[in-house]
Amino acid sequence: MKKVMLICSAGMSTSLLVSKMQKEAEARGLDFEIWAVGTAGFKKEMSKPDVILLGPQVRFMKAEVTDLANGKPVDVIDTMAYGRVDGASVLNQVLKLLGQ
Amino acid sequence: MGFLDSLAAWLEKHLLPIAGKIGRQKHLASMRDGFIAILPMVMMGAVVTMLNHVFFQDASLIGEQLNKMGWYASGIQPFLNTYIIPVMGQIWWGTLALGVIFSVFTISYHLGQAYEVDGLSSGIVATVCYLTLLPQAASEAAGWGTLSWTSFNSSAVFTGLITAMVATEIFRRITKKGWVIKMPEQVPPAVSRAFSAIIPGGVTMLIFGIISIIFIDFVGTPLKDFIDQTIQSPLVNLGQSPITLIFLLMISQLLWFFGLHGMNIVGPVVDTMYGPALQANFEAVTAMGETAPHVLTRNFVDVYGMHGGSGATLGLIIAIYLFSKRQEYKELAKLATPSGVFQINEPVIYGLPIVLNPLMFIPFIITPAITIFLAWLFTGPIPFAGRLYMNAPWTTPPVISAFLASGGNIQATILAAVTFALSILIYAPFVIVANKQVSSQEQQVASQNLTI
Repeated sequence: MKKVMLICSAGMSTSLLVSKMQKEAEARGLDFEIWAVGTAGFKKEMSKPDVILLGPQVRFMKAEVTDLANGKPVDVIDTMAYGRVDGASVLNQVLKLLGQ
Repeated sequence: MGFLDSLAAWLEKHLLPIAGKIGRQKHLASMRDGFIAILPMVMMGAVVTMLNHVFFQDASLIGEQLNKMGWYASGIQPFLNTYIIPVMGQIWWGTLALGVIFSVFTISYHLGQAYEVDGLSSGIVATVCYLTLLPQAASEAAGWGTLSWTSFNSSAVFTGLITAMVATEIFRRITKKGWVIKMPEQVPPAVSRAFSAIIPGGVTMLIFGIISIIFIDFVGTPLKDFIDQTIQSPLVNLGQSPITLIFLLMISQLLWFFGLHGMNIVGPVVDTMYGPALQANFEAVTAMGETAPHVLTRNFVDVYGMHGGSGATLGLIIAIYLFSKRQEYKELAKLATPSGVFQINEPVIYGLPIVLNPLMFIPFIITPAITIFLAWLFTGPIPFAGRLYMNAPWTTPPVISAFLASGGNIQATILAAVTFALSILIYAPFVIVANKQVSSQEQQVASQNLTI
């Protein structure tokens, strides 16, 4: 199972994306666990995910998150895909980061 | 590369590091995280008082209507008065009424962790330091051994903040100097942690004890009253000018235009300037039965200026339903409506997009400025709408939030509905212009096709 953590300001708008991505992963028969956290809570969960994605509104945190990620892939979600809550293309972004 | 692309690239290079620095600034971040940590307490306190003051009390808006029915007035209201309202009142007492003590703990907890010293120890040390500052009698008349709730209410917010910061700074400096009692490795970590906090914690408490006595005995006024008079009150009053609030909002909106979470960055400042004002209003109305002293409060922005999220984008969504001829706009409006109703608007900001969209930038930045100014005008100088004193959660849908935040004031609800309608009106011409934009693009494509 692959674990994906999304970070945004309060974990609210990314949670919309979580359900879309989860559905898309199921449709493709992929085993994924995806969840959203806010900027206040992400540090405690850094050990869990395989991939970490940031909402574009908190992309200024990328350096900080990368430092804490111990070499795990960290990326900012594509702006348009984020706005359109496009689960499929964000999932593609995740697969790319995982080298699949 | 177009002008906007190069602007975006320039900003990416210069603005992002600044935003990153502010976001990582340890004191601001610990304030933000500390306030988020006490959210369950704040929510519960807000809900119980809202229930009492909007529904349960016989003089409340809905309670008054219900009491017109005889069976309710004789059968249910006495039950509410004897059992339910006091229970709600006690929960208020344990949460919001004495709220400052929790933020002292949570802020120093997060600040300690940011400095990589033990968070729990720094939280406890800061809380003790705060209590150390308090006089041992609420007043001369009250006698020894009494604490005044004013030591923990809205007037104490800044003292709490400053204590949390200063106590944690002293604590971590001494800890980092290595002035700690080290236990052998066999000792359980919890025990050894407590021992290593003894010297740094003790020195911090000693410093606060001395400061406390200097103020109580020599200055003649407790530190809290001194800070309230010299820092908190002037700053809260400065915030009461609509210009200050609109200026802070403009910065937040500008950051959003570049795709950064504006309120995440400006939030700590807005919280410190307007949080105490909301809390003071709340205490005046619910505990003292007086009128609310402040017009502008922390939630004024959400209630009157940000219908559907930053930039009042629910107004934009409705304007799109009414006037847009662009297919992709209509699709996005449909997608963004459900979350927009609950004040979450990232889909509009990134999907329409508003980010780096010069046309939409204009209404995005002027709508909150205009609606906030109007709402201020009709709450303060022209006392049409009741003042806001309840902390309705920020995800409460527009207009309903005004009803709840004003304790069921109908004029405030009307004012919010008017500012909401106004936001639609301001966005409408820009949506119509956007129609023309696409038709000229289509023309271009059509003429290109012809030349090919």
